[in-house]
Amino acid sequence: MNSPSLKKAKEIKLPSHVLDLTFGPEKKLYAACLDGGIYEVSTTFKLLGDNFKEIARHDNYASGINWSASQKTLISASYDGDLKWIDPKEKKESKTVKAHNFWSWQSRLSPDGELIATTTGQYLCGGYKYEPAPETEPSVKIFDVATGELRYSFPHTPPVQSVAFSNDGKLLAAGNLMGEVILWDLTQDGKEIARIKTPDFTGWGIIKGHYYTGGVFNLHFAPDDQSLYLVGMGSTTDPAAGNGKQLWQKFSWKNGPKKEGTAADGEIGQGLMETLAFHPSGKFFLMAGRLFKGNWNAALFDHESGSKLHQQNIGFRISTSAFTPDGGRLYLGGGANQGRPNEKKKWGRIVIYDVSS
Amino acid sequence: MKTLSHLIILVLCATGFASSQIHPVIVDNCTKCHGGVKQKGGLDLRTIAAALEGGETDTALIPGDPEASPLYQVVQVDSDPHMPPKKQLPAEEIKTLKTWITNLKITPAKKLVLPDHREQPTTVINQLIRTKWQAEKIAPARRSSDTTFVRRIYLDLLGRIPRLPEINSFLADQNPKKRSLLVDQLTTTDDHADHLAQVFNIVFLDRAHLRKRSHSNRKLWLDYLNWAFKTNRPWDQIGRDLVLARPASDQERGASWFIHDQRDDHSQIATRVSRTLLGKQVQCAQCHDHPVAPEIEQRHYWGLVAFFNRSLNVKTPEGPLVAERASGGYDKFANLEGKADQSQLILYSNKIITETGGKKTNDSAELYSVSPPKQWFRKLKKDEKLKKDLTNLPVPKFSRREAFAQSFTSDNPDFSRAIVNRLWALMFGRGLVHPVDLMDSAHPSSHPELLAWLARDFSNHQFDLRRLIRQIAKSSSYQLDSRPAPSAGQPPLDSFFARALDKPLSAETFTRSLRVALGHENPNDETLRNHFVTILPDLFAENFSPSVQQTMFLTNAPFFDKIISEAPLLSRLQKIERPQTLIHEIFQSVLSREPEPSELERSLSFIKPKNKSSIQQFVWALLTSAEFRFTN
Amino acid sequence: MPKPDPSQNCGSPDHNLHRRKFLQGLSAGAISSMSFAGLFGAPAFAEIAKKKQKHCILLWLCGGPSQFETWDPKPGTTTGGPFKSIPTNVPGTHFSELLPKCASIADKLAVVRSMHTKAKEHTEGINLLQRGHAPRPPFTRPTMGSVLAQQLGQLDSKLPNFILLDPCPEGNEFKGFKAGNWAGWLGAEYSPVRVGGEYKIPNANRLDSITEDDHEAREALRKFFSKKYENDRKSAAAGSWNATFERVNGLMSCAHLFDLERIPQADRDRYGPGAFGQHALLARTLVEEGAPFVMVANGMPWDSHVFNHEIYQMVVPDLDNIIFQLTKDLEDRGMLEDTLVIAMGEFGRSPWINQARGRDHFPDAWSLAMAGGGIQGGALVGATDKYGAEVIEDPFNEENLFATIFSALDIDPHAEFKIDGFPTFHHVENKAAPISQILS
Repeated sequence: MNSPSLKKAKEIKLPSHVLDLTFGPEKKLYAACLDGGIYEVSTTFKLLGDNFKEIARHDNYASGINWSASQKTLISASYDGDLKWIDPKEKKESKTVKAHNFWSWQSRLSPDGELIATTTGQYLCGGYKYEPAPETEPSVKIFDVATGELRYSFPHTPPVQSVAFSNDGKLLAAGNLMGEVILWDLTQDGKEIARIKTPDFTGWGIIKGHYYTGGVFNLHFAPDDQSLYLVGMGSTTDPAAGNGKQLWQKFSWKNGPKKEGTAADGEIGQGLMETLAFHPSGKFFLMAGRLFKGNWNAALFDHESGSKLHQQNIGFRISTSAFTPDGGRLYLGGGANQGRPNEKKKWGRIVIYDVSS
Repeated sequence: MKTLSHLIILVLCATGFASSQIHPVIVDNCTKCHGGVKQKGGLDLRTIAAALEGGETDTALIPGDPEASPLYQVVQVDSDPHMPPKKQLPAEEIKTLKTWITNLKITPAKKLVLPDHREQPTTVINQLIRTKWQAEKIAPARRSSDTTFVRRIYLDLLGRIPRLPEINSFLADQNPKKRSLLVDQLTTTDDHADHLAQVFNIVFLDRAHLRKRSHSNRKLWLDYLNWAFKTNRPWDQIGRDLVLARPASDQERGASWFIHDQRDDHSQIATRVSRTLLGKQVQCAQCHDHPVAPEIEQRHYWGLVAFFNRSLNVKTPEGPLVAERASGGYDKFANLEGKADQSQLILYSNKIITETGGKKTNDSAELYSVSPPKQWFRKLKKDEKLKKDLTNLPVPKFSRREAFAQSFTSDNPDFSRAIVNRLWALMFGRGLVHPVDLMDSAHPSSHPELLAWLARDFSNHQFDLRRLIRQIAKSSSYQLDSRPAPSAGQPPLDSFFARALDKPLSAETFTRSLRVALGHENPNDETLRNHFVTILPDLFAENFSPSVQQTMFLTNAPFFDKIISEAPLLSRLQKIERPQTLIHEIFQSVLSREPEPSELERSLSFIKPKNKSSIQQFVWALLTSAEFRFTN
Repeated sequence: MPKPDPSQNCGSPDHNLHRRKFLQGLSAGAISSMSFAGLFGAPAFAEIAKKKQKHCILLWLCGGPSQFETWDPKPGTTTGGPFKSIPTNVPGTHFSELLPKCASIADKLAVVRSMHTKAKEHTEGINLLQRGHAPRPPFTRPTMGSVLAQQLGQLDSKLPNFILLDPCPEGNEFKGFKAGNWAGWLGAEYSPVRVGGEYKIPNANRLDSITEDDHEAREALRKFFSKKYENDRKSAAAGSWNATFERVNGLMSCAHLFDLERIPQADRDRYGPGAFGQHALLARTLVEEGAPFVMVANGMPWDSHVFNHEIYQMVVPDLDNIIFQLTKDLEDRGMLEDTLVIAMGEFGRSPWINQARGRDHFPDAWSLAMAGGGIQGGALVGATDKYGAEVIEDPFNEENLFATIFSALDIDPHAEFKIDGFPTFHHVENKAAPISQILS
């Protein structure tokens, strides 16, 4: 197989850091930004005016935006704890459901578009070493997209920072600060079927503060749903310096939790990785985040061997990513420096890369 | 050409600026926009030279003429343009600025006038130390007595107090040159090499490392140091042994441990090399330019890392060694603002070492003069680790470590300065730059001409450590008494070296001296030493800060109590009948001297001959007294 | 001419500061002609100040706590971050939503939002806010704790006059500071005794092999020889060594007071399980036993260049509970009037987020809070602009802060340090004024 590579095609500026992005109807693009705005984004060149239009607004960071083709609605999630249903044609909110008392860290739509999962949880001091305290509300919830009703409610140890549906829609996985991932089987009424625990994404700082930082920032099932990919920052005794490895790990769970693979030391630098996305062909996947030390903050890895095929220094921090369904393009969302408050700088970014493989 | 009677060295007057009253004002108010991170209007105000060079609108400073200096004009109330842009400096600071500019008589390049290179270091030391006393009208202490000198020289050169026979033979000697002869003799002993090896072991690897790693590797490392000091190996050779880590002989093998012990942590290697061989702490430059010393920037830190980031620990039939790749190691580094830069092979002198190849160059056998095995080049499978068992050490044709090692004798003036300063600190108790690992522009030397001359002399004389130590020990400055010259107020500052300073004994020296004092044949005891390392961990500390934990230990720890009660000294003392003899014996054994009349009187009221308890407590009181704690 | 009424302002800011003292019964006539500086010269006054033991607990939030996530929230702005604000029981005052308990006792706390200092790196900043003044080498100004230990401490007290509780051995620049020279020109006897976590007081019991009399007699002998040496050589190092021996007996007698285990479980539960809370509780018990100055830290956890919100979601509620419990407990025990509680770090944090989800150092505009003796509960001093990027009202610096702390503890901020052969140094230089709005 030829080695895939990326070539930058376009860059778009948004009002603030892009935390999530999704493709919507008619190949439209939507972004959830730190200022709370949900934006419809145009990728065509504009001589005058902005490339974005606000279609909904949250009270706090907008952490998720999802498109359900089956229910023909966008659903956004936010640190304000709300889920908002948004009509893409009317460009207006149609419904708001209060999902959590605390933030929605991450939200994901089931592959059939009928369920929306969202995770929450505040890290509070629960022990002498600042182990997390138990949850005060269910950390993982799944709502019905059509009706907005709560369908499932799962316990976990907060903060639960990532969530993913399996590709066949049968399983849900959620990962937290301590590197604990729980899997539930939705065909068995949400029965818990496995627990994976890895210490490799969580650091207990001995240098600055005696608490835990890091955790699983993103989760993805492999295309064949036999394994799960976890993404974050490698464990370090000084997580406050951000110097953990740019890390992914692959786990299977069917015969007990087992680590199947990990990013190789010689291929990775240091920095928090926030996003992972599989190329539609299933042959390789992307991991991206921040460059602290090394040469890249976005890289493509071979699915089978796990070795790095291509690396790219995007130039700013990446929080979210998506390949187009035909696999020809990769969209990366993130942001540059915020800058001083009176500059009114557009510091959010979406960059589009052509994928050749 | 050596015909000039004085060699003139051009040095920018960083020293005067850094220690002036105006420096903090400029650092706080100006360097954010005119300093390490950015230079608005092209103006850098971190050094006088840069200020004189000015920015887009010519010089910022006219020495002697504040009214005409733009720097002074722009800070006035209602000036236009006004600096700082949104602040007004208080009147007092503007006044300080005016005074400083008025008195700024020096020309852009201040010349350090050094004594002739043909002089002996001893002479130059005495001369330049005395010059500063005279300038500040400081009266130095008197010369130390022989009793004081013999104790001091044994502690400083052998790391233990002298035994009674050694003291007596020195005191009895009538030769007027006896001090110099003793210095020469002691510096050739195995004990002296041993002592230096222990000191530099701690300097290079700290105490934390010593506790964790394997015994056999540590022994090899100590054997190397011992051999190096015993044969008086030139310091540039030692530096080379340590950073090149490609031993040409069996004895050199232990030197590789310096890099190997850092376990492929290239950042650690770089900071350690900088601190121990170049006298500069550089870890704060990992994330941003040095806040106060403008000559240390983030790129220097990452440049230093680059010299070592092709290194990797390997195992060979001869034991663990450090290999070096011929390619790779082109890291970018980001600062807190996210701005990323490519690292280069750059020295503190700002010289950049050029190399062939680049990011895209793949590792291959033709880049090596001694090739690594085939598996070295193979692309590894997932989860596969590089086999680090090699039959021989590969040698790249262009070696970054070699380039760095060569710089010690060419473009790295810090190399000589750092070791000269450290040996000075070892002998005098305080470096010419203090502390010894902060030799940057924010820490000017107390005697810049002396440091420069000694560094130059050192490199002109084959980097000979033993010679320098001898010359220092023979100087009259070193041989001063520790009682300051009588005066009304406080004694002069330590940096004048107007008297011998109290030097706290290291754990090693303390334990050896303890054992000698307590009558043991062999001063070395590993268990005892390790115990005291946790109590007295400091070496070359910036300040002497005893902790109450230390004094609690000495007062209440059964361990320490037992050491005294079971000592050979105690059983010997118990046989003595006469109180006066008893007291003299204890003073000689522990403090290497006779008691003074007032001390004798006090002692007589305390101690009872044949009473084990009172004898033991008396010995305790002297061992824990200030006098035993220090070299003085 | 009307007689000055001590219960009124008297028109002079000096008098306002000591209104409380005035009410304790000094005659109005005698005071009206005194200047602020001379106040402590009055012998009757000095008597009163010495009688009641004062204490200070410093919650040292090392690393620089973000004012946005604590005392000066800016919700709904581009710089405010993801946490909202909540009203407090002081009308018009809002704290971050992460401080609900403090919000319920805001009438007992005083908050300064307009701290404006110039040190932006940790070593600089810690030294500046611990010593109250920029460095003037080669002289090392003593830290707040050392000065207070000297001023408030009793010579014969068993507890050390300066206790540092910090279980975290590390802390980067703070670690370097901890190993440095705390007491400066006051001398080693005013440096802290460090306890917490692994830092216990080992060897705190007298040897079995020695009687009490012998124990004292040999120390007296040791002292004789050592003092002679110190005086003959004028040796500061020997002085440090000797001073450290002086503290042995005192420490031996109170070593059991540093044991967390002996504190009732109910109390320990209230302060939360984390190490910082447990040591704040220990500080309270030590103050109850008479300790004049206890500093509580836990490494350098507030330095959130990376993961600001992820860290602050946890450390601020923890601090919230601690300040609440401490203030309540001291009040319940009738000690709040005589104990000054300070919660601060060496600077604040930047309004803008950086590339690592963090906030960087920001000395330009930051906040701190105080409670207890000498403090006006409910006071809110100073203001920052809409974004928290600039102080727009009543900027104060480290000199004003230290003047305030000294004044609150009835110590003359402009008194001189009396040290032979030294240039003249004052507790606070430049006659910097205390933050009068914060003093009761």
